[in-house]
Amino acid sequence: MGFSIPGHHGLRGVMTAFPSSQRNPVQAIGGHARSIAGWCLKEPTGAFGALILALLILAAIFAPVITSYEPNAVNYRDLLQPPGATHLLGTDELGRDIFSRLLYGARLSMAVGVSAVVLSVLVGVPIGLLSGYVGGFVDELIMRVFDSVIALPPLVLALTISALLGPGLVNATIAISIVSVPTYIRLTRGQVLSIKNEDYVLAARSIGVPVWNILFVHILPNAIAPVIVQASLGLGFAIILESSLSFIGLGAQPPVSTWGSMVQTSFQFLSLAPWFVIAPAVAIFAAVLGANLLGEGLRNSLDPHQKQRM
Amino acid sequence: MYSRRQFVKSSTLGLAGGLAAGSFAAPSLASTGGGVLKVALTADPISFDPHLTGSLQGRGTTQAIHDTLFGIDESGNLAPMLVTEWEQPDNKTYILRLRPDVRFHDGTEFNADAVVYNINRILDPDIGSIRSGEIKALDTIEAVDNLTVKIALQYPFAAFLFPLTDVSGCIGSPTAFEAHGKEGAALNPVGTGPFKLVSYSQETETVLEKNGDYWDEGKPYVDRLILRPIPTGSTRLVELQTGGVDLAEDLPLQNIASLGDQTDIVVSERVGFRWEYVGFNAKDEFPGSNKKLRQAFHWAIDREALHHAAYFGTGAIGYSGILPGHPFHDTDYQPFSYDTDKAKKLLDESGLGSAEITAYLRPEPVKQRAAQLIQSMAADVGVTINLEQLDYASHRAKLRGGELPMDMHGWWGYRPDPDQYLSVLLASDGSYAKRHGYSSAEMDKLFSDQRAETDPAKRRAMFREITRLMNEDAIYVPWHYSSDFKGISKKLQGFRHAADSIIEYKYISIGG
Repeated sequence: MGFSIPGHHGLRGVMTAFPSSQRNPVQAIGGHARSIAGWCLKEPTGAFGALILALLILAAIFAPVITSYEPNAVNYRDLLQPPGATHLLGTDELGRDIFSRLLYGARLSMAVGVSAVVLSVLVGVPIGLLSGYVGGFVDELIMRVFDSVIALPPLVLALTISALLGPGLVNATIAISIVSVPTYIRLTRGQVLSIKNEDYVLAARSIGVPVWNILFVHILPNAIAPVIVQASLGLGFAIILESSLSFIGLGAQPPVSTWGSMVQTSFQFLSLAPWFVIAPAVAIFAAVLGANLLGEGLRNSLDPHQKQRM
Repeated sequence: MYSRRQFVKSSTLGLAGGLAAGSFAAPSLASTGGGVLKVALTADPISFDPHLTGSLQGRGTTQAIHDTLFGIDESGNLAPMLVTEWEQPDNKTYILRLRPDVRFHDGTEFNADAVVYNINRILDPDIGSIRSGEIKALDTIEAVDNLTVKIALQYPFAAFLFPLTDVSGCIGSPTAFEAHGKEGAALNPVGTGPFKLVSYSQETETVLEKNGDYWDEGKPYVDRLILRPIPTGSTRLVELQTGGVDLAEDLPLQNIASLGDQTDIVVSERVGFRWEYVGFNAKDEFPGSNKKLRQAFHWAIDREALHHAAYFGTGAIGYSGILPGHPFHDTDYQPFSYDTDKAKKLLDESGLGSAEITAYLRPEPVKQRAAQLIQSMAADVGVTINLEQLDYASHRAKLRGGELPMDMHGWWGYRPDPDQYLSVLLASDGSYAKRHGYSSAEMDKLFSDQRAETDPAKRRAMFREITRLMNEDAIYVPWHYSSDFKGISKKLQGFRHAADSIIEYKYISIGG
């Protein structure tokens, strides 16, 4: 699967990859968790993706240790310096160290990506559980409302929401979450529909277990696997979307930079300082590649059909 | 040779590429063989109605179609155009004599009635021309005879005729205005100018052709003009380098230095195109209401650094709102320097010690660079500036509502007389003064005095005083004069770089 707007294509891909015949993916996860090394051998590309993400996250966390330059310190005597010993990746149009801005930018880009995913899972999964389990009119209503969200192109929708909320990273995170939420709702609901008539669910209902208990204790653990895969793919989507919003000025506000706003600024200097645009672009590429590879790897190992094909 | 619009300063001085001075003389007959001139504009002209167009590109294109009443000579004084002679019997009256035997593109006659019709059209509330403010001093205008117009003012106003060198002075055919109505006039312009509109395709191209009956003998030289809107600076440059266009507006500043050694392109620089300031809102609810805080910025900003980083060393450092090249400009006026101690002292005296201000940014690269530098310089003296990016429309709404606590975007383009823009910024009834919460009886008196004064030397002295008071009140902290850069193919001859950056197509010819 390609990673152009993985959110929505990912939805279809994941849904077809998890037919209703799937029974107990929790055991599959548990099994692999016991042997991470074994999983890495079985899914080398997925492991590679995880490695990229891990490196980026570590670089973000240890940014102050890795670089000594303050990311927003301007130095107008060293404008647009090429990469070299003093400045590993050169300097930008205000003489700021690009490597340092890249690392500190990683903090924000990753934080926005992860928060957006966590937020949309926390909102989307419970709604999906409820919608699938209750069914009927409630289900119809919820589905039609969120279908209308899916009907809009994700970037345009995120752009509109960001513009309405005002520029800034927090608002960008909210916008990305709103765009991503329907995916998790549909995914969870689909799983619930195939699980809710299973014997163990019926048994729980017959002995009067409360609805919330059935949803979160009996159904959720068996419906979560595709959500985990989607969350991993969604991370890549969220990072791209955040970069796009920052590119048009709706994300990070100067002087703070994320990868997207760095690409935006460097764009003007394409012919004079090509290294300036390459650095953040490669970072975005690596993060999205990592998230997608990890997602693919997880799907391969969690989906019985994929295994048979291999 | 006053019968043409001229540029303010010798253009050869402004040329970085060393185009021979001789090429500015009227081109020889051998090189007048027509051809198509292709031009890259920064934006679509949108409207050719001289009284309703707002943008620089609209103004420029409409002036290729409509002649103006007056031109400007090398020293920044009025020069003849459609008006050949004029006199001022008293300081509230002008008599204008019009050029005879001039016809509009539709064949109708250009005469005093047409001039009266056009000026009244600007003042007509149904038309809603944004130029009505420029001629608000007008009391009456009448046709004395077929080629004489008499203008009476409500109050003496020395700079009254200057807007008539621009779109306010563009004369269109009254017959055509009546036939097309307010909406139709935008795309059906009929003037007396050197070119006629052939076709217009929005955001794609505007095609103009030579007016064969033009009154200025021999001009224009080219047969056809093709104007293409190309918003991205680097794309305009590439089009010029690859021969897609012969002339490109507004070259990207970061590329100027490296274009010096290009062999087939000339970079033309016109200094004193715009001036730049940091603006403050003096209304009570904003930190800018504290005068000492505002004054501190005169010393807190490193103009030299801004000049290099924001403008890549192009243009010049500035301390006033009167542009270099203008007769009123004073090159020796350099009252401030980068001095953080003085800035800190003023902040101490302000009683604030430190302050926090929000500044909204438009998506303009130059201003974004400048704003981040100013943010960092202000932080050094203890003032926190929070930057927030807005789109153009939201920014305009906030500006017009007077809700900008601080604006990093102040810039004003060249106008022939400083009153034309300084009054908007500084006089109590000026729109920008109101938006910035500025009102000063002393300043108002200076403005009414200079308007009543007809001696240029005395007006010059009064504008010095206006500048001094502007800097003392520090609603606007000036820091830069930017230049206009145009890229010109070497095969073009006769290009003149006008102070207002509007291209005078009629002088350009395509050589070998």
